[in-house]
Amino acid sequence: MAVHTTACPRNCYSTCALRVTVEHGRITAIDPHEGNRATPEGPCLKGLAYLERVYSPDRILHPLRRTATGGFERVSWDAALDLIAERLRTTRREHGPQSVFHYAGSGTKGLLNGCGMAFWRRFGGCTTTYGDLCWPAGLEATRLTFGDNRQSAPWDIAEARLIVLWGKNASETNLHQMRFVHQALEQGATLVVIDPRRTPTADRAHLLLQPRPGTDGALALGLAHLLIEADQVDHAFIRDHVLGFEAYAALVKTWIPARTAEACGVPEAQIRALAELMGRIAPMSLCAGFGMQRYTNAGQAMRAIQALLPLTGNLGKPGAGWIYANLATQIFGPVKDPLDFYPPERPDGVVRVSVSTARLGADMAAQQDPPLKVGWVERGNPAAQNPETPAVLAALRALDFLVVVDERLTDTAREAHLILPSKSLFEQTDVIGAYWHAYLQLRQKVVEPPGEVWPETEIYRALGQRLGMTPEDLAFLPAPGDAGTEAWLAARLAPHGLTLEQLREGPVLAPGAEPVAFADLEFTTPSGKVELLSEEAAARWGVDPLPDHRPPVESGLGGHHPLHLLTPNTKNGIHSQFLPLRVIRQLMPGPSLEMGPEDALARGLKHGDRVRIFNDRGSLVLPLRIHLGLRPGVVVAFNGFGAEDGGSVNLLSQGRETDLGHGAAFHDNLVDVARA
Amino acid sequence: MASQFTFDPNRCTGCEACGVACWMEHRERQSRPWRAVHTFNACGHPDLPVFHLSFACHHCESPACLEHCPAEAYTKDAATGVVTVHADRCMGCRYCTWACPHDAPKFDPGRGTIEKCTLCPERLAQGLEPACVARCPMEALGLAPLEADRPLAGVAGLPESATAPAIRIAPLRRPGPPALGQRPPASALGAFLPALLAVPHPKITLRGEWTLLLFTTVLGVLAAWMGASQLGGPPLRPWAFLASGALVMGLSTAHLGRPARAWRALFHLRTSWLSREVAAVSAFLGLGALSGFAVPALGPLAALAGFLALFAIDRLYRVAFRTGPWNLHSAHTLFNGLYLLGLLAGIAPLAWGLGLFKAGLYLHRKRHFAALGKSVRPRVSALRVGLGFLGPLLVFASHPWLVAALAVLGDLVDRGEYYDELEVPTPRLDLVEVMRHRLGAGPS
Repeated sequence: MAVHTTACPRNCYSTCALRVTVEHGRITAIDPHEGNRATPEGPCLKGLAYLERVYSPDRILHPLRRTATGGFERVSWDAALDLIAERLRTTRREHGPQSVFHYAGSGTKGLLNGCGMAFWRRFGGCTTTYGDLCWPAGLEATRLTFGDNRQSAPWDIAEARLIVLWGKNASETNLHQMRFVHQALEQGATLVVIDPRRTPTADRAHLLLQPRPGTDGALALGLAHLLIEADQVDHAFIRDHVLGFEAYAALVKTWIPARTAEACGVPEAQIRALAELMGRIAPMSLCAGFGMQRYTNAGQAMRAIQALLPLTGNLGKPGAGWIYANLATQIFGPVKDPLDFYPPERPDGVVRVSVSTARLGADMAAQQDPPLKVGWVERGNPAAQNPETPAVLAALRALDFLVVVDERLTDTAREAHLILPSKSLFEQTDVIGAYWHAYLQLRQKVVEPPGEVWPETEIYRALGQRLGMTPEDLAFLPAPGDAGTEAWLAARLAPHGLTLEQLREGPVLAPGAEPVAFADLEFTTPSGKVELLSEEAAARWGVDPLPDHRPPVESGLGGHHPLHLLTPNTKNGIHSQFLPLRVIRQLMPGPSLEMGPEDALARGLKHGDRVRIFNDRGSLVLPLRIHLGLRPGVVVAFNGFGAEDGGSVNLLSQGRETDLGHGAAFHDNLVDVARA
Repeated sequence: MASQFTFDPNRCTGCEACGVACWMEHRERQSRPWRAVHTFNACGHPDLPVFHLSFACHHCESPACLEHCPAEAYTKDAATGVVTVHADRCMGCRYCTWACPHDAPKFDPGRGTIEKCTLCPERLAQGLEPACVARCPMEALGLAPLEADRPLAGVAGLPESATAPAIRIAPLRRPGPPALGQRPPASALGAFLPALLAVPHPKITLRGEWTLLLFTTVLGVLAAWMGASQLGGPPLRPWAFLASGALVMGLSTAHLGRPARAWRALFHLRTSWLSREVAAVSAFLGLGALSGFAVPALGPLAALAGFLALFAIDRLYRVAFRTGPWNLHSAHTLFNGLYLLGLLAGIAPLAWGLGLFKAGLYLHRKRHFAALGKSVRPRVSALRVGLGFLGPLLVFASHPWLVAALAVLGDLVDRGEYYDELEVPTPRLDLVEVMRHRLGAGPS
């Protein structure tokens, strides 16, 4: 029996350290690892469910080729790689390398992921995406306001006396944060949650505000109005560290409580109550979620929310500050997010970065000279998880040849001509970062890959050899075997004064990790101050230099579909991962649509009815669940379910970018609901 | 030293890692996690808070499972307090799943036996916490030395019982909901509350327990007939008795998960009414057969055993909630048997007395339901009263067979309703009852 230190590499705030027990070459237990101070009590149910996931009978263990009848048959690696090499050579000769489309999702963190794009450069180039599905509007807003995405250590929120979780359901998406929130509450802190839903997080709060989706910016401006009116602002901080206060104050003067209440659909008394708390209680930690910044007006809304912190002097102190993204572990690349998401100002002629992730289907179809012919998808499931599923499916089906690398038969893998098995987190060592805490962690190999599973680095090596690449051409890859991988990782750690041995012991804080962010009050904006007025925002994105509120695009269209569809994450999955597992399914049998009682009564719907959710883009049939705490005009369906469960929620969403950062405006999505 | 679980609903986010941790630890021998998370007010009623409870077995000081198990499959360790079910001794009668108000025993249909939380003895022996406690990411679950004065009464999720569960549940930091800015109009709340407060998957249903309905009915008829035959009523044919007896024995054995272990049912006469029932039924059938074929003098003794069996059956259902205002039910097997005895033996005072008493109980129960706003099922009620009470009255004395048949049919309808209305306490049901109570919606 051996016990190994490793970490969970999912696209999740918590990025837990794990202790994994291996007996006779098989994982038998997964336990907490106290070395990660943010997650010392261990992972959530998903981290424990790996025990099923790794050994699931549904896991893909060898290459699969699509048959003439649409099924899949097992083929050897030789046959699979010969086929891919032949298709790649043909398309490169006939259409050029940029007819190959490379799509990588956020399914697994790791430095070795970078080998994929390095391979395609060596191939001669490819076409790929810019932007990101998840969080760019908030990242860019933060960069514009504060200069960089820095945040205090996760445990600092326990020092706060006022905590505002704005659009974040930490109980389900970052439950480890709730440990620290609990510690603050035990010390008498006040918790406010802002969310159209009454989430499990909201029920730990003193106050819940439920604004109409897409109106968070208006709410923030209305709060600022009351703070300034009551003169509950930090004049010294504003004088020394804020740019554009006068113009901003003039803007918020127009956001009188009645106007804010009207725009947000929140009672004036609640807005006053929250402003009173913000004016009276310090330090305040303001923690924003990701869902709220998936609207076409969301970057500006995030800037408006951020403004409440400098206004009240809640920056650079313990228990105070902006909690959105911690990029301290992004030390290995030339640029940090969100700059990484932008298409290059000057294309290099090798890799064509021309497809917006948010508009994946439409942009793929629109590529000309050359059009896209061959696709390669790894660590992603765009057929279910990117906006506008019908357009994505059409674009994938228009390809002559599609390769998908995955652990299971996702909706995207089902579209492939060839599926290659991918490793699990336990089958190749890698170094992973995080975005809530600042730990670098070693995701260690603890067992041999099962069946015929190869790590992606070996797939690329074998493919490169077939394409005539020499060992020098393939020098970007680690040498074969575990020692090669470790040497490759060690070489990347060394410049930062880190060693594999250190990481093997447990999580290590990234160099430059801050216990309290911006304690130096050095803001790396053009002015060196917190910018409430940003010329760069106007120049780069064409938005108002002040964070004014405009309705999101779809609400502003005056369409005939009256309900906002929100598609948040469930605690039971990370996007489309984990949800098919049996141990998860006995807790959550399948998807459903949540609706408030007034909307259901108006449509004559009953709890448990099968209902059709529809708009001009598509429709989806789900069982209806009435939730008495959901605000009118909003319906909720968790994302992550796919065709096997009736279809993805993205059958209804529109491929649109957010106002800032090239994000995806998933939640700018109006629907109606009727009995199926 | 005995332990208790501790649980803090202020910390629990309802992530259900505890259930997966339990599965991870015991996956080789469990059909489903032994720990479950229950949510209070999952539908988000604006007047109440939402919180979670994570429950497995509370390893009670006076465990109902152990008391009621007929097969002595349960033990309680005097030193550690751990309540253990020994699968190799369990015959799969599932009575403990009714008797335990905390819903700890689970029936494993594959093995035909009961499974439940073991408190991870292998882990405790190594100085580790139970798997669910060790792997709770929120520190909401804990294990502590047993406290004598832990609060148990009135804690939501702990149904009132004499079991003294070994658990301490921390009070909510804030007992109310967050300050909300919206509240659905009463009409919208009222339209959906009944459906939202319905208990999903009730434990006892008529559909699931039809064999018990048949068993108790046939046994009641046999006991009454045996008694009547001793008092000058129609004689009971030995072959008919034997065939009916074999049928009820077959029915009662077939519903066991492990029929081959049925003999274990007699092991726990000291505290288990199920053991006593099995003993009385066995004595009744044995003595009845003997009296029919060989020793007629045993007839009165057989009849007595039969009525003792009916009494024991009624005692078994005392673990369930009362279905009416009193703990006396118009379809109790003993009342049914005595009523039929009166009719078959032509003992008018007995027939009249029991008939009026049962009719009174029946009508009073329906009035009680009507007062609670529950369905009174007028057509079923008419059938029951018409067949079982008015029918015998109209044809009394002229056609004793018909009278008896009508009475049995009426009682069958009543007993069918009984199974349909029967429910045993569970944490889930308790949470719904607490919700109803706090909303002033009255009990279910």
